[in-house]
Amino acid sequence: MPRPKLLAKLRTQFGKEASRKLRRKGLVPAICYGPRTDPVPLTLDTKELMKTIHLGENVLIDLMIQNGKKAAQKVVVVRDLQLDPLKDQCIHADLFEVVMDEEISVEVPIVLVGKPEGVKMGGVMEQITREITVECLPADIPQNIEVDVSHLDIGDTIHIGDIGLEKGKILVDSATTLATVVPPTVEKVVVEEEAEEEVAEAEEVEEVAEEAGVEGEKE
Amino acid sequence: MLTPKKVKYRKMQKGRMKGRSPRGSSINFGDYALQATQCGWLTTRQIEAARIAITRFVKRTGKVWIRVFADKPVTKKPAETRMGKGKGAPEDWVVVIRPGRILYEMEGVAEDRAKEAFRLASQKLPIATRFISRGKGHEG
Repeated sequence: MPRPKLLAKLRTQFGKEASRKLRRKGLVPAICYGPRTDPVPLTLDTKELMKTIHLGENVLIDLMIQNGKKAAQKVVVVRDLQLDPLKDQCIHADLFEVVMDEEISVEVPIVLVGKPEGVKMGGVMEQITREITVECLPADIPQNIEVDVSHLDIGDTIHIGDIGLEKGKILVDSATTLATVVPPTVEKVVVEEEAEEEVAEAEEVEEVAEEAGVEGEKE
Repeated sequence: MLTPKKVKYRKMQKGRMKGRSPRGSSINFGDYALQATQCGWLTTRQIEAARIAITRFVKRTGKVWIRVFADKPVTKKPAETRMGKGKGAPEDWVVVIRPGRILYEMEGVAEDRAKEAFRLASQKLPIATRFISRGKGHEG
């Protein structure tokens, strides 16, 4: 897949007020940093950025930074995004400049493939870990790691140590649980218990009434 | 119902609800969630009623997480009491909800069932909510 391009302008105004003004115009304040360069404050177009983000996590992006008449190009990945919880709009982005021959650590999502045997028997699939940290070259960043879980029975668990990676190194402890199939939770049926209690109470009342009746007759 | 076991101060001031939820606004455990779009107070009874609505609908399948805990005491004066003579007695526990807060999460059920379960749950709550799913965000 060719690398997506993203246009950026150098940001000169900072702070809450300036950032809010930018957002009102449909722009996003951003910052670009890397291991060998100083941080560069930027302005991105919200729509362009959201389009790029939807291509997937850890996608390498060609960032074109415009500074007046000058232009510079960098290869970056989106390291952090601040989203508005209600509008799902980006309010700030962190771009990490990568060096193509230097390994970086990225968070890669885990995708579970297949329907586990345990789920067919009524169990519930529970995914404990959804992302793992992987160290690899920027060109080898996997979009996601697929894990086959179709063989899992009720009570079975799959760990990080059970998955392998062709290129790169997993930086998470191998004993970390990835997913497990748990037995179904049984909800206590309160209504039935209440009904039973009511029946028991009614029986008691009847017994008392009968006894009282018997005593009355005796008198 | 879930209430605090022990608190440092028995009574609290009302406070104001302003802005959006600073935390707890992203799906962290399950695949689907019920998100508040309004601010308000949720009482322990309401939280429990909504939870029961969810678990009754999904029955034995799925796993549900409650992401809110009512830890704010609310006081009330007895009926037909003149004003003054101090603050009333603690009556209930509430949680302050701001827009964006995730209230419940669910996993292990089909999307349509999760949606229906959360619809039933939202009817037990005094604030407007919406259904969201991991990766897709909200609908509409």
